[in-house]
Amino acid sequence: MASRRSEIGLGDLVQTLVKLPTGDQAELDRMARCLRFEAGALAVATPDYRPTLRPRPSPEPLPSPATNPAMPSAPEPPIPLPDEILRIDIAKLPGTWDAESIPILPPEIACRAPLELDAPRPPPVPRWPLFPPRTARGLLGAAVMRPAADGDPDLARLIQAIILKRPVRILPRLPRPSARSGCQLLLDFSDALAPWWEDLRALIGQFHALLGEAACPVYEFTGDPRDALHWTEAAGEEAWRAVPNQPLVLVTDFGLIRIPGGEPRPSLAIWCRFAEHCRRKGVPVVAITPLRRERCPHALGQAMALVHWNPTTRAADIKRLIDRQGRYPA
Amino acid sequence: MSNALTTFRLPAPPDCVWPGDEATGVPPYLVSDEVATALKVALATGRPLLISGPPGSGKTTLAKATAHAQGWGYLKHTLTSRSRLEDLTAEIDQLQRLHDAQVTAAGGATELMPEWAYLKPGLLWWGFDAHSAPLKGRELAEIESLKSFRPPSRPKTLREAGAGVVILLDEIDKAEPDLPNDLLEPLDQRAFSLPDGTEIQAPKTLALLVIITTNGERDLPPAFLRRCLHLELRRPEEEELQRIAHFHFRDRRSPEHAAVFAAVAKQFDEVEAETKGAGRRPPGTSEYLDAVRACLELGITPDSDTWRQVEQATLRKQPRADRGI
Repeated sequence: MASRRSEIGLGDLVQTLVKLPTGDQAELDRMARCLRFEAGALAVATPDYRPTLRPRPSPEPLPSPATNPAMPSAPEPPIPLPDEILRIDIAKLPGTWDAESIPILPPEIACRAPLELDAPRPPPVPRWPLFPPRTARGLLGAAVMRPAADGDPDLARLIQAIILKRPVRILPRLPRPSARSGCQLLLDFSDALAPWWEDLRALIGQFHALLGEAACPVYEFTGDPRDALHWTEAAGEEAWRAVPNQPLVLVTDFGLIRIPGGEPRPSLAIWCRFAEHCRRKGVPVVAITPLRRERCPHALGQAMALVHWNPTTRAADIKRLIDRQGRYPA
Repeated sequence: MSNALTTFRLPAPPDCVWPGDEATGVPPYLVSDEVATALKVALATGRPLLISGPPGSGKTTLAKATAHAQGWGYLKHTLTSRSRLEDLTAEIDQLQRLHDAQVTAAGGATELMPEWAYLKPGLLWWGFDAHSAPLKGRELAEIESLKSFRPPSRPKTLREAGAGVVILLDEIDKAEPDLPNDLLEPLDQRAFSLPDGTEIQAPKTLALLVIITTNGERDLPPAFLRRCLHLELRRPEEEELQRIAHFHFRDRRSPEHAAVFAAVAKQFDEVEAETKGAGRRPPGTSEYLDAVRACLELGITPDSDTWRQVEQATLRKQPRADRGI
């Protein structure tokens, strides 16, 4: 079989223009949009068009304007400026300081550059998500996919049934990863995680892009995760409840980051109770945390898959945490 | 210019409508300039055409209407979270094979056939090569030597002598996130391999139009998007809606009916603005047509007392915030 075709590019554009010749600019714009080029990328005629691939022929000597009526007429001479220069009066405005009477600023202020209110602001620094777009899809998919028994036939079980002369009424199939059960997102929006709030919002977008909004409700909490709430226009506030077999993605620091004067953080006991609650309900938990795995409480590492929220994390790391049978840390 | 393009028929102006066929359930389709260009570019480049747009905007109907207007075959598969590439290409019916093996061992009349005889051709096989699909990629003589061979049933919408095929993969956003990437190779190459390595290749002379629809519920993989042409069907304006109703209800061409079309279109616009403002899903063209049909069948207009119930059932479908219903 031949190799896969490349992405849509100039070749497709040229092919389209050759097969569908048109002189209509609106039609060209529609073609460009369809090929995911910007409208206006194609122009009916560009007067300043010059071929760039072929060498340009050496210019022939231009005919004189008298012999070439198509030549434009000579530009008009510039308008002469007046000889007299306008008078300029410089006067001191009332209420301004004299040079001698300006108070002396303290040295720590005087050494600073004056504040330029009208100076153009530098462009905002682009935020690079903690899970880069290139890897996020596979990574988040690995976190929420669960084994579904609709893969290839399970020959081992089939052969076993035949040997034991058991009737095979349903073809046994091997599990394959599936995202059909969606997931619940439980996000810690406490003050201690304020530096990650933007990243949390970006993470919501990444999950919704992968699973769709309907399959991925978002719950927020600041203290006990069991008090997490989801808000919708139709239903208002809705308290979180565990859904058996639906993966739960938790984003938190487990109350380990403390800020002076900040709100009280949930203790390890609360987190252990939460993990136990999820285990009893049959909810597989994947915890995404800005802390390294080593810094997280050992007890929690045994109850849920702990994923370091970091650009170096890979889908394979998550797959190692959640083994192929979909077993989460017990 | 390729053969498919020279024979491809677009509806004549000023109506620009494919009339459809009530008997076969093909509704009329108003072909906008954007749609016409996208179809032509898809045929010129041989790329799949990914159609997005709000529900009820005519994404699925476009494929059916195109196939009908061109006299081509039409194959549709609605993707779900359970869809796999093998469902679309070919899959061995292992359960039937096991059954035959057990019956043969028990001395029954059925014989155990070679593995290839248990292949179930999927939609892409029928679309790419409708001749080899019933023969499961083998020669007729080989088939005739098998007494238990059961030929697969041919899709009813696949025409015998059609010069082309429209393949519709509906609602790809419902499929598993990896499925679009699995589809890249068969759609790019117009070919796929069977489990035994046999390659099924669409003939170069076959006009093949692959249409894929998405409701945009989730993003598709970037590599997939970069290999598809894109057409976004926008919501029609008030006048366009009336034109659509005009062609859908051709047998009811009277000033009274035209007034109903216009009045419902006006109500449709109001509901659309209201739902958009409330962040809810606005109604689509199909819902407008439902509302018109209800009015015509029940003999009411948007001025009637019962209109509110019709509007609620056909256009709003969600409780009104002001009335709490």
